[in-house]
Amino acid sequence: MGNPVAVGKAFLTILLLEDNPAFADLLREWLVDAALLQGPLTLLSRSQLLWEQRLETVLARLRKERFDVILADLNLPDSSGLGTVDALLDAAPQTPLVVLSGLDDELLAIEAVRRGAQDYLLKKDVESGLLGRAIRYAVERNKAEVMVERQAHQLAAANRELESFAYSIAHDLRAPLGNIRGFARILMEDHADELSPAGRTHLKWLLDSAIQMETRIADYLKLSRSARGKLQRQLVDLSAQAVAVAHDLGQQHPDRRVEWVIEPGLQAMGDPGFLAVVLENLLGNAWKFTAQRDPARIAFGVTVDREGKPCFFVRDNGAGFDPEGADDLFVPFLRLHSQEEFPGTGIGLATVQRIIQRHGGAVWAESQPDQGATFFFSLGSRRAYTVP
Amino acid sequence: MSLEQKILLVEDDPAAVRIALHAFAKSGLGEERIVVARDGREALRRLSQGTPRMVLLDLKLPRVGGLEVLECIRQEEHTRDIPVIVLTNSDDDQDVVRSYDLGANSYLRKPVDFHKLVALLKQLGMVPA
Repeated sequence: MGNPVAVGKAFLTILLLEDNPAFADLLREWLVDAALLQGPLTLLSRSQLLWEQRLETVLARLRKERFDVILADLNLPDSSGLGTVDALLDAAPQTPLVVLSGLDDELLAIEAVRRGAQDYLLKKDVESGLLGRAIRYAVERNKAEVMVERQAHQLAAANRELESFAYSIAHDLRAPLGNIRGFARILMEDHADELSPAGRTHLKWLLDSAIQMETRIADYLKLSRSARGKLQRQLVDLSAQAVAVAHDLGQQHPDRRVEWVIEPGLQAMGDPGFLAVVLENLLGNAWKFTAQRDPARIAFGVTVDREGKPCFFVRDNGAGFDPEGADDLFVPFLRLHSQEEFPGTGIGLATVQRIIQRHGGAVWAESQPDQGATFFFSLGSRRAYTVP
Repeated sequence: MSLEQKILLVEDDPAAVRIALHAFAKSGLGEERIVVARDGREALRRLSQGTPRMVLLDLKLPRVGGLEVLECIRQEEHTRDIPVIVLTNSDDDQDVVRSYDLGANSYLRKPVDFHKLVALLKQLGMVPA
């Protein structure tokens, strides 16, 4: 590495924080040797080394001025150790910091870098070559980091915008679609006599399609909301929620015979509204995919995952699925069964996954075709559970 | 046009108005019993002239919004006690909560399920049960 590294900006403004005047002088000489500063005889010396001895003075300058790089000894009359690192990074988070220390303390060095310093140099090792490289690298690395951070920011903003755009499109389609359904229904109820049998069939298809699209949009909006609304965490009685869902399902389909086994007293920390959506989807799926079982059996309880951590489960004795498709279950709009077998939009489990992930947990499933299915979910922190 | 004994339907979407009129007609409320206002300002003008039997109020309206109309209804002496059913397109429950805070009697989500609406009308004594 004989050649100096190209620095985007040819002239650097370097702020040196060092309480020892002799070492400060030495550093200036090294920087001249490293061609980061021009010698005293050069008239056009546009790179600058600004030297301060106290943290307080430096912090005051950082409020008003910008520097390309800060070189700082950690132990000063008015500050020491990591406190100096934190203060400098707080005051100038976007300015690269190179720490100079007389202490040969590797843990301190690692911690300084972890907190955001670009480099940690031991005074006894410093000479012009090392110092020059350290400064150039620090400036370049910092530039790259700032760029990545800015891009991540822009990407997140673009994503949010896209998501809210999709949301408003779906939302705005509802009113005209509702009208289409409304008029189709009027034709069906009041004008069916005026149509030929084929015309009536087509009208029926029109109405069914409109209803299907309404369901799809409603499900899409639920998915979209599950990624947007704020989580309001509190202790939630999942067993009570499951019982309520079971009750609703039973009322909607009084003809079905389903044996429910819901473990009582299961509680979790989470957003009650969102967790209710999770249970509605998982128990609703279990209900749907056991349609051909008599009696159907659906259980909700708590167990442990492979690592021995507690997780909740919803188990049924229904149609199950091919385990090869297990990863696709949570992909929006992708379905493992045909509409004729089991109707649906393929959004429910994607919604469940988003909600669970926002809670810091995971959801996964196990099944064999015709052997029923079990869906497991965890909710992140260990403290999230109260098992009776 | 006198408002007495009539339903004031505040709705800006003409297709939705047409569907609503049809549903009303089927439950025995002919067009002579319905007055339509196409935006919030028209609704307020109508309401300044009389006391309808009931108001069906879309929340998302041009010019003056539904919640403002509701607020005015509850402030005016002669309209204070009219039953108001709000129609909301939004799935944001905040709208429903705000409507109840402002004194709505009930709400329906759009697209309106007219069987639910007719059941509500029966409950309010607007059509014979």
